[in-house]
Amino acid sequence: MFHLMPYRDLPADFERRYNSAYIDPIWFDVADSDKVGQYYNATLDEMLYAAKAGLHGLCTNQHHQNVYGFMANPSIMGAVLARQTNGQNIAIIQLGSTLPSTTPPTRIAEEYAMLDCISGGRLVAGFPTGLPADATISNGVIPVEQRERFREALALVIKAWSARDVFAWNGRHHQLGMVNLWPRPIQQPHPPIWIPGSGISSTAEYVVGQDHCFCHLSYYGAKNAEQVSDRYWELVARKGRDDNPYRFSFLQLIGVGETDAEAEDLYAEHAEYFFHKLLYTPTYYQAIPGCLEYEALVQSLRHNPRASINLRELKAKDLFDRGFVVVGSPKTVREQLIDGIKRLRMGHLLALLHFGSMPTELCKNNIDLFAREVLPYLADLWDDRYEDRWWPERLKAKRPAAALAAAS
Amino acid sequence: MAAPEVRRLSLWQDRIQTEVEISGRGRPLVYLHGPWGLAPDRAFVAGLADDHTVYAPKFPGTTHGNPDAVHALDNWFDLIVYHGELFDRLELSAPAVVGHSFGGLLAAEFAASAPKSVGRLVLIDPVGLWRDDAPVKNWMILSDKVRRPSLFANADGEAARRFFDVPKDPTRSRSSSGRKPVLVNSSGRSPIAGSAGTLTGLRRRRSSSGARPTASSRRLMLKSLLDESPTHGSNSSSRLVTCRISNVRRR
Repeated sequence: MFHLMPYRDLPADFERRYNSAYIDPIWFDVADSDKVGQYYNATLDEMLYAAKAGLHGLCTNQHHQNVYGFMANPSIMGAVLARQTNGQNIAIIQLGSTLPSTTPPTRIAEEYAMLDCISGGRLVAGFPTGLPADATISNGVIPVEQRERFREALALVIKAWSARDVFAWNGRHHQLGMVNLWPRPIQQPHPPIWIPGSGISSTAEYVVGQDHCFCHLSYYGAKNAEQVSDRYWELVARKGRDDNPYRFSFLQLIGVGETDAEAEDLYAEHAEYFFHKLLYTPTYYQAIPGCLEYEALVQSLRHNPRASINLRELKAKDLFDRGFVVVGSPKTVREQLIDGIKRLRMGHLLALLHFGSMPTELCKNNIDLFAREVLPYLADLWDDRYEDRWWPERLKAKRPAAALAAAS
Repeated sequence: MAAPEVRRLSLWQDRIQTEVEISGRGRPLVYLHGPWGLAPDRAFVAGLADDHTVYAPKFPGTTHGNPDAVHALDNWFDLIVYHGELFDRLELSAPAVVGHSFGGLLAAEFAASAPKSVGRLVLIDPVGLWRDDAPVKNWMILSDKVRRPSLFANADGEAARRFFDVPKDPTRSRSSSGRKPVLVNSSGRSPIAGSAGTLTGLRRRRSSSGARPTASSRRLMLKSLLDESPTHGSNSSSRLVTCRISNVRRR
């Protein structure tokens, strides 16, 4: 289960007052610290509920200065989840701490190693490059350096996890004379590494080159991701990697009800809340000059199907019809998900079972129906032919033969 | 007006290929363009060329076919040393240096670090001179609605239109030599603000969240600007710099 930890009770006129979910909303005008305390606890409750319901992973993430999701340090959430799920066959997926904005990056290596130790070797180590608004505006990373800082930091983290002796790091961005990390992760030489991306650019090239798992976090549904997945698998073939579906993860908003009509009714306002208030970030905060490398920028100018979409004009029915949210009865949801899993060759489904203003009880209901009526039908889609090489070793032995539905 | 000579140089141990547009006749003058690339400033450069030999280098990363050149430079000190090498290769000895916006920041840094290499210094609306009571607006993260009037007195005028015109057909200008496509605006000029060439070439500024003073720009305020008051012109940015100088002097 994937969770963003959004602000759930924004004022009705929020989108008229602010152009963006990022940077602009003033805390004291729209938010309340007591409520946010409740949200953090509700988020942890919902994720722990998903663990008990039988989902295979719990996924946290890092964002800053926004209403859309503000686990500012995902390791804090991950620590609670790791401790509380000990004894359960569930992965702790940190997707995750952002290396370019952390100095020194060995801090993240330490936090992740702690999580792996606390969880007994159940960590999936996710490393996002970070959204441009997060990295550049909130954390002051020089845009053109974001990706090179990321790559150097990840190399340092992996070496720090596995080096058998004290070593010196003399990098372009980081210089550390004596690195001897305490603790080290249980999983050696390193936990499975997942790296998110919104398209096929230099980051995807890097991920495939390093043989890590690529996570396409689009928020626009499997229906609209075929071009990206096709290009991803072309890239995989071009680089001589195998076609193992587990090297590709995909995020999908999901709402399950007893019937199609009930589900559409239950999730409509929360879907609109998510796309109208939370996801809305203008291009001048996301396409910050220097954040995209040349080829990616050319690609985005040539082909960006989302550029013409004004999310705030779409009603819930549009969001459902376009596949942004897979919503319906268990039968409808599993059919649509299986189509998407097969079409995209998706090994890990990151199920966003809480979105927008959804209250805890509805979220738990969604988790229940998904775990009971949908997840079992996703089993065996790939397991008979492929091994998941991007999953904690200790969980593989215990995992039932099933396709992975990780809640990230 | 004759087309400028385009001199191609390989610098920084051949890791940066750049173009320098050379035009006019007279005393040597180096023009350092703003973060939008050289193209929007060409008319101004042509005016300078009436009585100067103008050397207008393209910033590393903004020369066609070499968008990643900027990654060869680690920091401001590299940038200064790089421009020292550029001046040497152009066989320039203490030319006048005119810098616009980011180019103004760069010109100031260069003059502070290598004062004997700069004969006269002109800063046009330079970024980098930070005052807490008058923070620089970062136009790169503004909405179009706010950005236009922030940069142009006439936000709907022809100059603003040409400046912000977004490329319509990125594949149109793929050259026969097979170089990477260069995005052009509707008038065929390239690159412009908003084009890939320019956007990826934006510099290693201290932070994108607003121009901040570097150590040497602070030195510059005391060393170069205060001593020689080199700004010219009567536009608002020049007056602002003058105001800042007066402010510092009062301290």
